[in-house]
Amino acid sequence: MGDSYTDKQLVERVQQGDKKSFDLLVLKYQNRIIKLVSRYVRDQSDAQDIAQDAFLKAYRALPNFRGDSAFYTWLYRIAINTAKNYIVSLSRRPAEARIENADGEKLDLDELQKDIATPENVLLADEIKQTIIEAMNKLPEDLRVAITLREVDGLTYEEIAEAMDCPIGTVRSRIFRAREAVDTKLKPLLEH
Amino acid sequence: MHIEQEVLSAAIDGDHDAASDQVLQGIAGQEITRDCWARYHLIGDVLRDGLVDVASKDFSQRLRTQINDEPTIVSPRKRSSSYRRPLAGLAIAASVAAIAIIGVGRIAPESPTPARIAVSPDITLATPAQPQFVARPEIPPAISPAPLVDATPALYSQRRLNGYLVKFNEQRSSVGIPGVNPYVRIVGFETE
Repeated sequence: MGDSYTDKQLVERVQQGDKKSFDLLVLKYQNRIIKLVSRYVRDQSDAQDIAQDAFLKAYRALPNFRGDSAFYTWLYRIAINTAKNYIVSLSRRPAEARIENADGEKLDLDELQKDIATPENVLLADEIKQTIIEAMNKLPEDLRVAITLREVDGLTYEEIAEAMDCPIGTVRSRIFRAREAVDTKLKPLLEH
Repeated sequence: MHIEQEVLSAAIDGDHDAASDQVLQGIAGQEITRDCWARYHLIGDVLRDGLVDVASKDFSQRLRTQINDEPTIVSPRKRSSSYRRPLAGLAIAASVAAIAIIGVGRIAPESPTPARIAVSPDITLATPAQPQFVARPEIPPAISPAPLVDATPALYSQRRLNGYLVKFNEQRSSVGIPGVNPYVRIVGFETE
């Protein structure tokens, strides 16, 4: 058991023409892909555009995806290549958009202007992180351990059941209750 | 379809019972469950990676619009390159015929006895689905096949085997069995 099974199911559904299932893959991986792209592109809005482009390319290429690797590994490579192509396209831009600093280093005017993450984004990201950590700290120990073993350590339900010496059904219930408790605090933050 | 959040939580973790077609379809089909799916994944991302980059609120919405404009993809099928295969076959057949003409012409004078090409009389060179064009060298009267009924049992068996091999080579390409090229006639020498 693992979340790759769910990915496989979703990919098969998309390959059979169900576009909505691709939406679930986007919602699952959007933050990770944006974070990945942000390593290459500092501007947040550019990173989001590149991530969108990567998802679109993945959708178009999905008929050829045979499942030899995990879906995320495949998507990861597409995102990296899209980001690299973007950087290459930047380097081909006309010289007028560039200036030289005192050391003769070329600086891109647009990049200088864009290299500031919006305060709203930074604030929201901080609040999300803070809210989740606080909610986790308030969880009963059995719930906190269960969700940590699942999300942080990547254990399966069977492995968690063995580690916590309880039935799989209990693991499933504890992880859900932990998520629900954290989600109760997180949801209002994202709705505003 | 109403999806209970506990089932959704288990589907996220790849639980085989939870991540069924019906459940995934239900999750993808409702905005409430889709949002919940996204938040549960966000919780995991923050716990796992201490996420700082969050997708903008309209990220998935914009992508959804773009995906809806894309043609619906269908499950991958084996490409049979229906128009290329016959052309490739013709090219191979022509090459082999040329080699056969040159080869027979060079070998025949050096042979102490006349070379004889053993050809099974029941060879049919092309099925209706395959190209009819097969370049073949003219067969001199001396090498015309003898009727099967007059052959000895050993010769009869050999001719039948030859016929089988020829038919096998003609048909194996259509079912993907490896072997020598199609349209190649089996050529052998017999001394009298």
